[in-house]
Amino acid sequence: MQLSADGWLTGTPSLQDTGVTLVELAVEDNGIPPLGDTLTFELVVKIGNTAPYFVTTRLDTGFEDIPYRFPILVQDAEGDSVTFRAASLPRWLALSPSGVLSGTPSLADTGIYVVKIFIQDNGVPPLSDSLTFELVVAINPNPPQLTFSLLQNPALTRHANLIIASDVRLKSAPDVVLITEKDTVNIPMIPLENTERLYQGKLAFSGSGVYRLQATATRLNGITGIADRTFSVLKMLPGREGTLVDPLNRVRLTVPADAVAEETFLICLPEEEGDRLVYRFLPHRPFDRPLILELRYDGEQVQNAGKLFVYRKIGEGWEALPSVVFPDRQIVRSAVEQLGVFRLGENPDFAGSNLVPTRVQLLPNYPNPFNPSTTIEYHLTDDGWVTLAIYNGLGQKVRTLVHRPQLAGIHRVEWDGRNDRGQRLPSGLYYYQLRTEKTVLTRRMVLIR
Amino acid sequence: MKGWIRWIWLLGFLGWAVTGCMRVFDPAYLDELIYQQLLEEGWMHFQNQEYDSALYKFSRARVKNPTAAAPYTGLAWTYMMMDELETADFNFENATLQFEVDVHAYAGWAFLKNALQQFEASNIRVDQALSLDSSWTFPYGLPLNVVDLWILKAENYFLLGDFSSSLQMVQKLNPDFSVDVSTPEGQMALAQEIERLQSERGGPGKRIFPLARDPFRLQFTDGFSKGWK
Repeated sequence: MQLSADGWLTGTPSLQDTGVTLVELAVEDNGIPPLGDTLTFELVVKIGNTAPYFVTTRLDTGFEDIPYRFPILVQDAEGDSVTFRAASLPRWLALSPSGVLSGTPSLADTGIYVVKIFIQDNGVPPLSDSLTFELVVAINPNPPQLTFSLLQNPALTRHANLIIASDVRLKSAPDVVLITEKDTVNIPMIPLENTERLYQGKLAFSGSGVYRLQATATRLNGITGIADRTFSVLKMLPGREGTLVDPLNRVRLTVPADAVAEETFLICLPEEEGDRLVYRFLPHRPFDRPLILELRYDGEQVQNAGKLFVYRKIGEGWEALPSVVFPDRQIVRSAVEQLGVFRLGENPDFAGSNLVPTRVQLLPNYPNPFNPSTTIEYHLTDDGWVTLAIYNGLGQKVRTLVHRPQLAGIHRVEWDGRNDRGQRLPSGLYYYQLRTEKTVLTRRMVLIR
Repeated sequence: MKGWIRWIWLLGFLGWAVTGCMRVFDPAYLDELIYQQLLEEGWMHFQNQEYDSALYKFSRARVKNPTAAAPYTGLAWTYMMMDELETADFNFENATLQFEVDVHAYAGWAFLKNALQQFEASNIRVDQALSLDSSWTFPYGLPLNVVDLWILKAENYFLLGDFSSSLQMVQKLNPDFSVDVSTPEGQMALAQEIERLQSERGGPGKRIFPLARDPFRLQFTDGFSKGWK
């Protein structure tokens, strides 16, 4: 503490300076002779202290069988730490030293509780407060929420394990039936060990069709809920073509003959991911031939159909697949070599157009004249057999570039200036001819060596 | 002098020919040849879905070499494909009781035990298969490999209620996945992650698709896509 010449006592006491101090002050005037006086003061330095108080004034309602967790908020002006204590708590409820009420009430615990909480700060002297709360534990009126997981055996694709998870404890294992067009089969469910809300059952698919798993589950309080998961199954046999249509008729997977080398059960599970629909296909395996995936879109909800793509899930992201849009049928088509998770999406940054060509076209090759290679682009309006061949100036066929069925869309083929035997052809005028089931188109090009 | 050399050559040739013929007519050598051929034919039939023929070949191979594991393995895989799970189980067991060790028997048995709801036994077979070949791939048509075994193990642990071990297996395939498996919510998320891995995973042993560079190159029958039904 300091005393200024004009009589001001100033300074900031610390915690160690608390207590009572005797301060003796002396004053003297400038008269002749100078006269003075003294005075002794008692200066008391106290610790600043205010009582903590409750910010929380009421508790949330608890529900039976749902974990209850409620942090009680308090404030202390000095920032002192506060300890919590409860006078009496129901047996299912605990209060942590940091002031969090937690516990899971059972059905028998429903009712209204009076909970008195004490708080005390660590000031000198410690100050405290208390508040009495009313805690209501009600019967949960919601039916149990069930989640299905289908785990297909990768070697025995006919067989799958089913896991059903409930958000609350159930009276007993859910009653599960597998409904198909032909029959309804009961699926016995057993509880998993070390958990109170998971159940497991076994499925065996009999053939192709739409399957609906329907589970009826009852909470401990007697409230019953029904949940279901619908999916499509395709029994693929080697040498036979197959089509898997999802239960909502929004997606279609065409599996060509010889795509599988063994009897395989393919599954399509539509799922909601956020606000969009995605399609999960099982099993995850490569195929001997590409499969054709067609997704339907709603023309009224699409801004620019030419920018639609089929997307495949890769890790946490999505990858756009080469796609063709058929606006008349409102479908987007893509060839996939492996199953997985797919969805439809619009890519506004895409500069081109995925719309299926409106007429068959054979475009000028580029570059032209060329050496050593050139690119030929053609557009197909329909799926079908296509032949693209090169002829020399004498009209002799020198190279067949394409001779196979192709999908509608835009196709590009590169020619390296060699014949079918791999020999380099001489400079000169050449013709390239596109032959489809309905059209024959021819153009010229010049090879310069 | 030239005559002696000619005689030596002739004797040498005769010796070689006689030894060769003796080997050809040696019943054990013949049996081994036939046994190997039967196995090859059995797997060929297996890949062509000709399961009855496959069973016939593997059964004959078993008669030729009753102490070998391979014929039992072939029989077991074939019965498994025919959905005769109990018979497949019996044959897998026989395969593993033989002196010879066959990784395909343990791997196949692991998938079968899962389908039979014997999850602990399935995991034991997974471990045995992986200890024999940590980069296992099934060579006879079915596109199965070590990743399928890992996911199977994760599923088995889950179904046994051992969520921590299940999570560890899942994290081998997706190290970023992390949940508190002591909570019901974490357990539920783990189940969904296993389901997701079954349909989205990559991993080693992925078969390279020969036509991947031209996804629109496709063999199909007429009228394969003429609109929705």
